[in-house]
Amino acid sequence: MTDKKNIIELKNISKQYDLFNNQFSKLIFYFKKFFFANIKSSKTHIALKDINLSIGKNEAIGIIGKNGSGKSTLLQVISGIINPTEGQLLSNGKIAALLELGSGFNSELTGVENIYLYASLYGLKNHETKALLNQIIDFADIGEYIHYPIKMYSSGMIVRLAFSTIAHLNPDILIIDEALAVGDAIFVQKCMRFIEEFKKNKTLIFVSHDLIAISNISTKVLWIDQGRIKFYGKPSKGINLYNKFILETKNIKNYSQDFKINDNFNFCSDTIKLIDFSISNKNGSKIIAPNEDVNLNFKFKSMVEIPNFIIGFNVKNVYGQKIIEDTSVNLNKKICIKKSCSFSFSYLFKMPNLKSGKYFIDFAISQGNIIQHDNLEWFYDLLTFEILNKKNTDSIITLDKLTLTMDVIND
Amino acid sequence: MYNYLIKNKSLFLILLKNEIITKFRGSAFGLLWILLIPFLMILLYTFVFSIIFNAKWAISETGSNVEFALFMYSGLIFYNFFSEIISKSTTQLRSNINYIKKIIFPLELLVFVNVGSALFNFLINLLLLFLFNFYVFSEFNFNIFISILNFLPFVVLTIGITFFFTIASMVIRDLSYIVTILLTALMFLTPIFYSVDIVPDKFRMIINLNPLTIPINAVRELIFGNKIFYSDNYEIYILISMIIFISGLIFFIKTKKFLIDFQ
Repeated sequence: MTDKKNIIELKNISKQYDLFNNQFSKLIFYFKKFFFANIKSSKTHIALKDINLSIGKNEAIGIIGKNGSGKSTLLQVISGIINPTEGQLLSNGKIAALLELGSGFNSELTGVENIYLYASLYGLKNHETKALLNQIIDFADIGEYIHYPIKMYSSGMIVRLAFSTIAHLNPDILIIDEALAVGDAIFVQKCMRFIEEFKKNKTLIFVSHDLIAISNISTKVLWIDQGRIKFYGKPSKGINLYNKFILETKNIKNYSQDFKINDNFNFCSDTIKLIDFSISNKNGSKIIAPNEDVNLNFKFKSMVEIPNFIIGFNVKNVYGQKIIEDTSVNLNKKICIKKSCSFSFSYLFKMPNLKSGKYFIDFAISQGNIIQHDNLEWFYDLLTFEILNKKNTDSIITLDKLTLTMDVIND
Repeated sequence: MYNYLIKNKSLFLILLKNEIITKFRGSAFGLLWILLIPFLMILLYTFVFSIIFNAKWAISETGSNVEFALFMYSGLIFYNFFSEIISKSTTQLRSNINYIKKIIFPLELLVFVNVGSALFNFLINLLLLFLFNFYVFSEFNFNIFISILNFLPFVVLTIGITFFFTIASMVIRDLSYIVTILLTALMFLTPIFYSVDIVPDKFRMIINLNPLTIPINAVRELIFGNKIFYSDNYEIYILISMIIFISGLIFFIKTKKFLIDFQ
């Protein structure tokens, strides 16, 4: 695969920050460091540790992780703003980075003047910017405001300006740090279309907490935790692992359970023992057509008494996007579970008009009320089923009972 | 160095333009303030020294009160140039912290932009000095512009010092307060309100070591004296300026990578 040449390579990258008790000891330390090079501080904060990563052309890397896990530091290292303490960074291509809302902009200047400033920061000559100016202004689409100082802008407008400027600089590698979160829906759509085009022959690296955006855009997911790579690979798998991790850290319990479903995806607290579970239509098939009645059944044995019992499930598509979520709380049913009894719960519902494809069901039980509850058990991808929709479409759902009328108003 | 400036020419010019323009943006008189400020300063000094203080330049027997204002203004523009740059340098990195943390930016440019914008103000001042001189003596003295030759090594020296101050103020926060005091002390150690000749011999050495003394003496020689080019210690002055400039630049380049840790 010669065309899949790596555009960015990180080899054993580590970044440490030296910590000091006061400004004075910091000063002494850097004074020594300046003259005697290699000295180590007694207290350090490790922002990144042994990062090995290669990013190829035409890839879109979505970076996920908790706050303070090192995502932004990694982006800073890749864009060359900070030097790693150890390791080697090889990059090959022009990088444009949008790390913070309007960084590099001068709030006293007008939108147009800021475009010139931003473009020249990137290395463009004045006449080159002039050629791009109309395109940038059109894409930003903030009307008259483009001629006003940007201190008058809303944060959404600043993001529009920043994104459209950076997008038109034609970089080989585009780095975006959560910046798109403030744009309105229409602009986000526009950015998505741009990104779809961009990632066809360029490289995109972005951080987001919006897992749906990650699963839509990225070709690979990079999950960073405490400065280390936890996962790098297929988006759907990465997102599932990450989701599971988030839930676990919320509710730390032990993980041993007899009933192990696919690998170690689940977390549990030994409150119930699953006996059986199934999904089927009237004919008992797992291949379901839209509008068919479906029976979703769970059988389990309780190990403890659970007052205020809640049972729920999620339906997800192959990208890990949650399509349906429902729990017994929504049905206003108060359920109490006695110790050492077997139960069978059946959900009966009409399958919505989902597009054809494979779907996954997560099953969960918890305890509490609608406002506050503790998760007791969570089974990831417990069941799979398939939808067979006659309509061939790319959208998540299709329309039912759709009619189209045509009237000739004037001939 | 040359290549570096060529590469960053567009960026430098835009930053310099912004620096000069944005200062007055939004004010009623706008860019007119660039001329208005020094002009009003001249009026003020003339009023205070020639009417209130009734001061005379001690050296000249014939000198009028207005001549004293001219004399003083010719010293002040050099001091203003220097103090504008140095006080700016102590806040510049902090107020542009995004240039360190969020984008890839050739930080040296900030120093050149700082000096460039002060240089622009200086040239306006020099022009007003020329007009003021015409008002006092009723003749155009184009030789005033020759003093730029004496001024150039001083610009180089100032850039060198600015390199040190810009970095140091990022590391030592207290520097901006210290600098305020030092600049006031420098104002009195600079022959602005007096001539070097009236300084007692034992202190004259200190005044002569002040880098501002040479360009100030030079321009005064052109206005009030009869020398066309002031060449006292010119070569050694150039040499020292170059040494400070180069060591400042090296210091800046070597230390700028630590700056991100001092945010």
